Amino acid sequence: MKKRGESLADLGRFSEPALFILISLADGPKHGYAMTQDIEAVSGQRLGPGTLYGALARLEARKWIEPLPADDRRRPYRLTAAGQRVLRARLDSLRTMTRVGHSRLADT
Amino acid sequence: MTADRLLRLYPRAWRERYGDEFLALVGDRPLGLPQLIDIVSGAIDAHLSSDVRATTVSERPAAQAQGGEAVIETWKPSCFRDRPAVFSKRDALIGSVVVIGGSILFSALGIVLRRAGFDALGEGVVSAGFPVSVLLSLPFTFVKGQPWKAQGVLVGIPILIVVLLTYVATKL
Repeated sequence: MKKRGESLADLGRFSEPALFILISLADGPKHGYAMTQDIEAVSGQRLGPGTLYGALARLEARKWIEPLPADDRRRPYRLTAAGQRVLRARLDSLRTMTRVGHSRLADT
Repeated sequence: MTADRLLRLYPRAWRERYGDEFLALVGDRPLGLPQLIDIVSGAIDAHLSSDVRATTVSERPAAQAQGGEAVIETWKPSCFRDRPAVFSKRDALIGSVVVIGGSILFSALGIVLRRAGFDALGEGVVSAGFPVSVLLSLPFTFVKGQPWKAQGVLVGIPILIVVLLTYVATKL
């Protein structure tokens, strides 16, 4: 059984924005604005500042991301090793769900 | 509404930690209603979420406080935040006893009144019990050290408003 705080699902309504952020940071550090641009390009969803920083604070509190020294007024973040593990686990779970969903659709 | 003003909705520690990034992200662009709602709900979340406080509280003096004291520091009205603490752990304990004891007493009184046939009054006493108890605890915590007149106003007027609202609610 997973302990509390080891899964993205524990973040409630922030779990999806947090997943987007982890995916965005998977190819290197980014600051908030670059993340919103990247997430919009990948998912079609634009995260508002309230959602973005709510999710960033939760990810930071769990040490799944960490801030880097500020560049001008913008502070970049990077994925930690723990964040990579959580992201991999979530993506594996989504892959399983996608496979099952497609196979069930094919059966109908 | 400008980004600067919206930023003021967030707790001071949050602004110190994320304020510059927030302003850089929001910029000077006009904000639509969905963005405004997102920012306001983010501000509410920043005040309430322990996760958010955990990432911001360490950068402010309240970091020296522990546990419940840190929470109290976060919720102090801004006009009191920069002052040295004027109430001790003992005061906080007394305040807690007033809140808990007051709530129990008001609930018991409300039950007695309802049994005696004063249904509306009993309902009102039960409903107003908790907020009134919280207000009565303030002289031991947040308004301790203020002049007596100021304490009377800060505690008495909200109690009158709660009682008035409860009275109106029981008549609806």
